[in-house]
Amino acid sequence: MPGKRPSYEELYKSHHPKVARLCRLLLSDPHEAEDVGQEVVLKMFHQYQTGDWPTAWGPWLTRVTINACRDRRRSGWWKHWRASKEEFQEADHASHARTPEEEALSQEGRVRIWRSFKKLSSRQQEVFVLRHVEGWSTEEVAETLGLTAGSVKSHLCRAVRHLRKALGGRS
Amino acid sequence: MSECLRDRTFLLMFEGEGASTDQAHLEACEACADRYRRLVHDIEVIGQVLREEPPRQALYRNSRSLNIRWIPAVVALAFLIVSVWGVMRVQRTTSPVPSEETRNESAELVLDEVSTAIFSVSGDTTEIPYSDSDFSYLDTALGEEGAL
Repeated sequence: MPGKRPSYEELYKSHHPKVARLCRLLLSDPHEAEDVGQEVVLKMFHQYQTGDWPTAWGPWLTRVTINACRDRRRSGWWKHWRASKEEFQEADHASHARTPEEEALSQEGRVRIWRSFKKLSSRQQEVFVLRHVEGWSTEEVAETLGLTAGSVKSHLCRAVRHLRKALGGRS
Repeated sequence: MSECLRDRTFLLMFEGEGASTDQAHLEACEACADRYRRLVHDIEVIGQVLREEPPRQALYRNSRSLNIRWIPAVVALAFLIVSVWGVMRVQRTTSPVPSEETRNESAELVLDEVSTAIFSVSGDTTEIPYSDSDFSYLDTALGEEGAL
């Protein structure tokens, strides 16, 4: 890797928020998302210790996070069912300062978007998050998820059509 | 002016695809341009909302809908169990239960018949028991045959 090697703290600070967000989006239970986020951070630490560093930590961490979320979804379907019945703890989701753009959209609209997003298939969620939340290019998304660019676009079209309905019937 | 573009075409154009004719139409048609701008805006808004923490109401809904989906199945299962139990109970009450004496008598009769058959004193075990009625049927049959 050219240039100065970053310290582990620097890596953690720059990548942990993205890992946490990705887990929160791809898993339905916030506690489980936190667990998986910690697992990924631990993997990043081990990888850092070995000295066998990836050429870019961002894509590597995204791949690891997506795989960890998939494993969790596969292994613990019953836990998801149980977790969905648990009471929500408000303290875990403290609100933060919003931009005027965010304020413009009502709370109801945000709820509709989240609910709509959770109804998407796992693949559509992954594709949409990488493309429109993380801002990756279609080619990067395709490479990371092992799909063709055409398939990514197809998933995106379906996801966008579905999500736009939550914004007031537009499709 | 050519026909207005479909939403799917807008999405493909947003992803960097789309024919040059579609691009030309988008530049010429104000309605399509407005729809395209709305699409881009919506995608930005959705992406922004998903970058935030999820609202609490968005996490409440799942358990409720799951419960609602399970209710008919649970009711149907309970109804089935109660029905089977009811039928079994009705059958048990309508069929008379033999008393202790009756059961003993019938057991003795069976044992008598079995012992007679097994320990027959005649010695001819191949002999088939018959009754008078068997002969009457035979006579009738032979008589009819002779008449023919």
